[in-house]
Order: sequence, then structure tokens, then C-alpha cells
Amino acid sequence: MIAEMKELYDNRVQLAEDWKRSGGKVLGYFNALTPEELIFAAGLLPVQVLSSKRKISQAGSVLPEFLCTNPKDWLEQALAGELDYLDGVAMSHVCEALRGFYGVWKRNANMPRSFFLQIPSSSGEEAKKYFLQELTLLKIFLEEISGQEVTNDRLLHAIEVYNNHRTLMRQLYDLRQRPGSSISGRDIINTIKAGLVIPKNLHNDKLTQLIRHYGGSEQVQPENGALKLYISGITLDETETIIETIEALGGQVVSDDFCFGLRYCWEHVKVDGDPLESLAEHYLKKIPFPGKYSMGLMADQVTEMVSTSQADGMIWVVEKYCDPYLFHAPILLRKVEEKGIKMLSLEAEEAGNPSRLRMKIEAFMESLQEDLL
Amino acid sequence: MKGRKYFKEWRKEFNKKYYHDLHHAASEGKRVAYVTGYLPSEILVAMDILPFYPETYATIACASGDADELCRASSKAGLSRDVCAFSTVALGSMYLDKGPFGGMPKPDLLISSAYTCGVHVPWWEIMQEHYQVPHFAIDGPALGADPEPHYIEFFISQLKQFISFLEEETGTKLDEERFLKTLELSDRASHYFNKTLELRKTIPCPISSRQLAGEMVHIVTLPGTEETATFYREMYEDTLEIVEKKIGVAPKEEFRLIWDNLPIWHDLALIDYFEERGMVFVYETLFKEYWAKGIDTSKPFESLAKKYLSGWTNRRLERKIEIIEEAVKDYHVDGIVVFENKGCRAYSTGQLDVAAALKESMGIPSLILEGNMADPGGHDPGAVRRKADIFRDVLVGQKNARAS
Repeated sequence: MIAEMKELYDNRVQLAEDWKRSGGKVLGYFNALTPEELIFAAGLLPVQVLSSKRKISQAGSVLPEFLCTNPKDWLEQALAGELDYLDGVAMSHVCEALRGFYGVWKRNANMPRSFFLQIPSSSGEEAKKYFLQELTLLKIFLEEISGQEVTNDRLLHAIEVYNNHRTLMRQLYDLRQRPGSSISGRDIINTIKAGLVIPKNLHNDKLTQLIRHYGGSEQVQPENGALKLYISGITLDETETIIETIEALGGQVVSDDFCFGLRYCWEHVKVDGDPLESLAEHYLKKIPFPGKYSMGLMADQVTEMVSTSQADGMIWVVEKYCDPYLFHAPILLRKVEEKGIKMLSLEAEEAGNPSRLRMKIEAFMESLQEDLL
Repeated sequence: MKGRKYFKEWRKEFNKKYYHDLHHAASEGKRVAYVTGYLPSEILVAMDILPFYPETYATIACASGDADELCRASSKAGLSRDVCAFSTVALGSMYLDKGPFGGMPKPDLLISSAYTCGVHVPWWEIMQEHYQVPHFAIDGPALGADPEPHYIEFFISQLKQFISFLEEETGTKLDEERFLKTLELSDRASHYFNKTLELRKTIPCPISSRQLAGEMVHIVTLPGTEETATFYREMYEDTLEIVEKKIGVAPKEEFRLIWDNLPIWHDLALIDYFEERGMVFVYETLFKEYWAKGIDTSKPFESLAKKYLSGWTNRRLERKIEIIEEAVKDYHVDGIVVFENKGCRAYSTGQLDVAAALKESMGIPSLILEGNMADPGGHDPGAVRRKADIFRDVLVGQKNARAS
């Protein structure tokens, strides 16, 4: 079943093209502050464009070297024609890199339609009103692409599907944290990635099957004393390599706060009156995204999750040049020290040097082992 | 003609008094607010709150040669040297409690802005944790220049919340008459600053990029005061005299250039190097696209919104290209220096497209210089000067090709 998740992601272009052949359109997006519910309600297939871990060549001629890897990689994919199946993209402003990148994308990516969603940094009533106006513009943009109206009913249904998804993902995470769980960190990443490229209702069906399978007691393995680790980070692909290394060294990744993992599933969209307003409320206040959320609160939440997961230590994975995460460091470090949590900081790019990565993680795990003795 | 020395001395006296006032604010019953660049500090001035700019302070620390030590201090606290270089310098000063003019003054309030640059808010949050004083972040759209009506509406609501915050923290109300007077003075200063910049359309260019980098401290720091308005009026009148006498900044002006990005604050002498070789900067996106903008006091809030949402980093790329193409024509530009500034991703992303567009549409060559506006680590003054020499050869070649 998990192998199927990986296959779904690996075959995402084929799946998108099949969707288009049956008359559908595909909308790309780039981060968790994009209201996917709206894309789904417009009858579009939302597909998150993830990094492909490739060498940057063409994109380097229009982007500075000191930009984080993700936008460079996305543009590289576009320039290679690998995103030609997208009918448009929505780019949510979450950082300075994307503010400047949007214009470069529009000029160079050869994308039929692009939309820049201005996300407020504040969350008061005026911010919500402003954000609602932005979401209304996004709604019109999506409707123009799909040719379908986003009615309240369609949006309510989409919210229901996505809330169900959040419930199922939390259940999966709970199973993962169960002592003796056979769900690995790689399994979680593959599950998340599949959900980013197939219709959410389909992913929900697969999650339900997974939960049924792993919920059975026969899936619980005897505790083997493996070191339990928590991963904090944003990028799925490099983190996957890091998780593979941890598991190869006998460790177990028990929880994380990936953008599309637990952090994304934190709370449901609470529908209270107008569904578009409810979405605005949710995306403004409920997703603790660095750069748009108090770093102190995020540090509290991360350390709380580390404690809840009963991890022996945490690994913090940050992209080189990622301002929101890099600014988080002084506050997170202080909080982690205060809570007595052992933390290893890694640059996501270190995943490209497997032997060095292994040495660092092995040394960290040995130090954790010594602390436990 | 008063000359460059006159204004430099004025600036020195201004800084001396300004930092004295900052460090003695408490004893004089005044409050100090740390503010981020390009936010409506006219409101603070109108309420007798002293605005202090860690970013401007960082430029002074760079020019004084202190940047490296300060960067290392913030690095020790966990902040990467890959982030905004102003923040690493200023936070280093905070952690060490040292720097030019006796270090940064202690703040009573922290005011940041999310719309000019997204790193301002997290940076200010780090300072809030350190100083334990109230922090207000003025929100606004990231790409908000040429604004939609709802951008203006939202920003005005933010300004009003900002004023309420200040009134609550200080226990005093913003006096409307004083507010309008402050805006009028700010507008006057911007008016003369802009007119001075416009004089650089003349050949030869009458005022140097380096001088402007130093003399912008008044309009950045204390917009809305009589002194600032007077300073720029006098600077404009002096520059006008220089134009009438046809005096240029370079011994022999051969090529006119645009500088795109912030200056290299720890190597301002590079500007002199260019000038000595006949290459004069006549237009900078930083000066023209921020503090040269006016305020309409008949519509104060709407006007403040339009001004402060229209900084260069708030511009969409297609509009940036149009603006620079207009500048090439108006300022008789021969080339553009694109400073790929590792210290500011907001400013630097999109620059290569601007350079490519200029080449394609107008045949304007570009020099790409990589570096960091404030962190001197890794900066090689010799290497950038060699690149300047090569660029001069390119400009000469282009000139000869056009002549033939």
C-alpha cells in the first residue's frame, strides 16, 4: 500500500495527463498556504510542484545563486518542459524569495496563467477582510481556468473533503507514534507526496485503507529500543534522504512538522457562515508557517510536539538561504535548550553528500545513546 | 556654492545630535522606537517619538569597518550569515551592546513592516525577545505598488491601528494639526530630494552617488522635520548652481550608469573608482524609488499608503523593467551595474531579467557584480575593481561601434 503511494507520486505527470484527457484542468501550487480547497472546488486538480533535486543550469541564468533551492528547481523543471501539463499556477507569498521569484517565473516559465496570492502577516479582522478580497480574486482566476463556478455548495464539499483528510492524516500520525509502530518516516513522506498530486478524495480512500491496515495489532512490532527522532523541516525530498539515513542507522522517525504533514493537519477549517470567509480565517490563523506566524509560538509548538512524540532528540532541517527558517534559529535554539531537547541542525543540501550526512547523523545518534545510558 | 564638505559637516552634526538625543531620550522624557526602513515614521515624528533605524545603523557600522565583528556575534547566537546582512550586523550590535556612536540606543517600542521586506517582522521578533518591549508590525501587500483599492484600504486600517497602538503606549493622542504639518515637511523634503535627483539628467552629472548615499540619512531617519526639509532644499539649490557651472562629479564623464540594488556600504570607495575612470552613476533604484516620493496632505492616509506601498521591492517585475527603461532614456544612460546583493534577496531576485530586458530592448550592456551590501566577509575589493575595468572596455567598445 505504501509502495502504491510512492508509485502515485512517481507517475504524477501521467496521472495529470489522464485527468486532462478526461476533460479536466490542472493547477500547480507551491506551498501549504495555498487554499487547496478552492482549487478543488473549482473542479481543478491541485498539484503541488515539489523540488526534483536536480542540478540547476538554465534557471541559474535568471536567478541569483543565493536563492533557496526550491524556486530554482521549480523554474528548472518549467524550462525543461516538465511542467507543461499545468494549466496555471497559484503562488502564495510566504517569503521574500517568492516575492521576487514571481516576476521571474512569469517571464520565463512559459506558464499559461499565474496568480500571486498576497498573504497577510497579521490576522486581525481587517487582515481577514483583505485576505478575503484576495481569495475572491483567486476564485475568479480559478473559475476562468476551469470554466466552472465555485459555488458555496462546491466549496463546502471541498472543505469537508479536506477536513476529512486532516482527520485521516492525524490518525496516521497517531499510529506512527504508537510504540512498536511499523510505519516508517519514509512511509509518511511517500504518503504525503502522493496526496499532493492526486485528488484529495481519492487520497482519503487510500489513507483509510492504510489506517485500517496499520491499525491492526499484527502491525505492531516489538519495541527494539531504536532511538526515536523528531524531524523539523520544510522540504520533503531532502528530508526523505535524511530519514533514510536515520532508519538505515537503526533509528526511528516518530514525528515531524512538515508543511504538508502534521502542521498542515493541525486544525480543521471551521465553517461558520460563508465558506470563503471560513477559509480566509483558517489560512490566516491556523497554519503555523514560518514567516507568517510568531516564531516564539512556533518554537513552543515544535518543542511541545517533540515532547508529545517522546522523541529522544530532534533534527532540524533547513534549506540554505531560507529566510523564514534561518531567522527562526535563535529563538528555536533558545527554546530547545530551555526544554533540554537535544537538536542537530542540518542544511537540506547536505542530503547531497551521503557519507558526510551519515557521519553527522551517526555522531548525533551516538550522543543521544550515551545520554540515555 | 556651498560644496560637498558643507553638507558632510551638516550630516556629522546631525548624527552627533541625533545619537545624543537617542541615548538621552529617557532623561528628556522621550521614547525611542526601532523602526524598519520605509515605514511612515512621520507619525512617530509627529508624536515626538524618536525613530531609530537598525538598518541605517548597520550601514554606518559597515562604513566604520565594524561589520565583521558584529556579524560574528549574531552568528554565535544562531543566526546564519546567509540572511539579510543588515540584520546580522544590527543584531550583532544588540548582542554585544557595542557599535558606532556608543552602540544602538535601548528601545521603548519596536515597529516593523511586513510589506517592504518580509524579514523585518521575524528580525524584530528576535529583538522583542531580547529587549522585552512592545512590538507592532505594520502589515501590507508584498507586491503592492500600483495598488488595488483593497490594498489601500487594508494599509490605511493598519496605519490607524498603528496610531492607536502608539497612543496607548505613550498615553498621548496624535495631534492632527501637527501630523499634517509633519507630512507637509516630509513632502517638502522628498520634493527637493527628487528635484536633486532629477538634476542628474544633465550632462555632466552634478552630484555623486556616494554623496547621496551619505546624505540620504536625513530623509530616511527624520522625515517631517524642518531641518530635513531645509537640508534638501539647500542641497537642491547647491546642486542647481553646480549644474549652471557645468561641473561634473568625474574628472571626465564618459559613461553614465545605473546602479541597481543597495550600495556596498563597506566599500563606498568603489563609486569613486568608477568615477575616476569616467563612469558616473546617474540613477539608483534605491534613491529614486523610495524617498523621492511625495505626500498629498489633502488625503494623508491614502497618500501615505500609496507612497509606502510603492517601494522598489513592492514593484512587479514588468513594471520595474518599464521604470528602468524610462530612466535609461531620461538620464542618458550607457550601462547598468547590477549588484547581486547576497544580503538582500528581496532586492536581488529579478535583477537578471531586468538586465536581459535592457539589453534586448535598448542594447544596454550590464555588469553583474556579486557581493553583500553589509557583510564584508568574502568581499574582494580588487576583484570588483578589475570587473569595473573590463566593463569600461565594454562601454568603450560599444561607443566606438556606435560612432562607426
